[in-house]
Amino acid sequence: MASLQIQNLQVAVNDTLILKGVNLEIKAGEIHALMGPNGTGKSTLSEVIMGNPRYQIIGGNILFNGQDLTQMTVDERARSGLFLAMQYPPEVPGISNADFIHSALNARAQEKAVAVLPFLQDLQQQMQFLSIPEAYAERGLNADFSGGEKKRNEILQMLMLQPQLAILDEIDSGLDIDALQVVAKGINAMRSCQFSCLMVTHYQRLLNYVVPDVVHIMIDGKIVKTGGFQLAQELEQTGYEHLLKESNHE
Amino acid sequence: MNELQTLTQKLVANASWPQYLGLHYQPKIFELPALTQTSWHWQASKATLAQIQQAGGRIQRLNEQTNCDLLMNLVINNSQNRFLVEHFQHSLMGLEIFIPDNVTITAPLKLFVTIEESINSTLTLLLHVGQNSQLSLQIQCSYGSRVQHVSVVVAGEIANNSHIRLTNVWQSLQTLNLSFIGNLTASADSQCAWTLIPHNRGQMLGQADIDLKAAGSQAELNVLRIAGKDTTVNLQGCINHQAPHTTSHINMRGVLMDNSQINFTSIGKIAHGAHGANVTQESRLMTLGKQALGSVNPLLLIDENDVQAGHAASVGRYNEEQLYYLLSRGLTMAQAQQILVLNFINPIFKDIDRSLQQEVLQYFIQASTEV
Repeated sequence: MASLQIQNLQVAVNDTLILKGVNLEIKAGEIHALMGPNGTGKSTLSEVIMGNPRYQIIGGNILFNGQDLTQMTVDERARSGLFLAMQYPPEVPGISNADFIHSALNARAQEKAVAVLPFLQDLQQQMQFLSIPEAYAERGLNADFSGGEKKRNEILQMLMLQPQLAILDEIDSGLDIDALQVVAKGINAMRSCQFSCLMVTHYQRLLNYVVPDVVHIMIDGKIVKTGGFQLAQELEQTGYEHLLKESNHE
Repeated sequence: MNELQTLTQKLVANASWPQYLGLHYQPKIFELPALTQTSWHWQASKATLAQIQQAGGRIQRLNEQTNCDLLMNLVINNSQNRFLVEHFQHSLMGLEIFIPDNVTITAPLKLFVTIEESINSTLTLLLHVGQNSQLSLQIQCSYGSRVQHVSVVVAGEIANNSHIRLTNVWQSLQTLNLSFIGNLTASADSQCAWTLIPHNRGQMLGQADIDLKAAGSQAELNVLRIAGKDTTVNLQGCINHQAPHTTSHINMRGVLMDNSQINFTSIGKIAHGAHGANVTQESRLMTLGKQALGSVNPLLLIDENDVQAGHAASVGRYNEEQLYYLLSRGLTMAQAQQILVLNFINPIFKDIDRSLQQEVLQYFIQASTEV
């Protein structure tokens, strides 16, 4: 069964149509990449799946494990196994990084509280895995973090929360090679037949480290091409121009 | 009759209800009728109390032998303030805390004052900190279920080069009308951090002043107020820079639930001659309740050129982006709101005592469930 099914999705923000009929299917266990020039709607798609209230769904469906996501609130979507690593994670200094993750785990566990000691051990392990300094656990959520540190923190949250479907919105932007490799390490560690992932990315660079099963190209609010990893490699040679021309002719 | 009663007797005819910019209150609510019999007691952390006594300091009930010069000056300087005048018409009830020169009290002193049986109560807290001394003092006042009206006066003087952290907390589960007047005077190179955490349901009217009367003195005034159902708060904080090279920061934060109302006025005053003053203030309200009403009135009154001053003010709900982020991790709206409130009060909350943090959180959770 498809983990995520998007059918003819049309989305507007402030009365401007951004997504003009997106069709996308991600099966359980697959890693997909979504590429495309700036302003084509890639981040919009990520945010709409998560349920960001800024965006209005004009038409189409989003199904996650057969459930209609559009009938669910943001937190319900998260508890059903969805995760979004945001492009610009906000800072919330009033809660520590550790307490935040613990609260999120408790929210998923519902009745049964997550025991503190095993949680802290697990957190410590994952932080070491991602080369995040131990002291960051007690710092405010994303407080005074650099852009790269925030992205690593998003991956840490993903590893701790173990979602079924993770959407990574430009997780590679602003990262140096070392940070990129750490982030890729984290994503690859999630690979399993129960985990699927949609990586929204500008550049091919990330895909050298996290090789996707499927690559989609979005132009002007629609997915215009879908292929394997070689599609990303071709794009690196040709750029988006010919695809933009084709899109303009339609 | 003590000297304060004699003085105020002469002043009462000309005293009137004070007017505060941006604050709106009904004087009748805070008028103190004749006091009924009051029973109260106090207790303090034993080890710290012993340390103070060994150093020649004292904490004791106000009595006929207490030196009331500080209180007399307070009344003379505010001779038309009817709340103050009427407060001292009643016999003196409260505590004196005296710390001599050159004394450092390492552990925080926690003082608990409980007013048990009374319909109305006045409480006076008098504080003297000598030169080169250090003290961290938390005074928690709690009130028995029959107490309805309370008038509190806090007066203190901080001598040269001393450091004090003073936290005043008021708690009551029942509806209580509280009027508060506080004044601290800071001498040369002294440092004073004063935090007010009033958590009474009902009405509150307060005025807290810090006078930086000598060069190099520094003060911060913090107010943290979580207001639940049927609560109205009008509070003015003022720091007066009367000498050069003085520094102050006012931080007032309120969370408004249900139908509560909060009005904060913050005043940074720089007198002529107080050059090199550095004055900052921020007043912020987070309005959670649909019927909540709040205002913040930041004021800088500057009569000197060579100064630095700034203020920030905001009234609004939480940051929507932060809310969305918290929800996107599976936290419910209620859980996310709690975190956003914690986030909002954090600048003041993080510096208060751990057990007090727990009490503030419990108060917030209790107030949330009543919405």
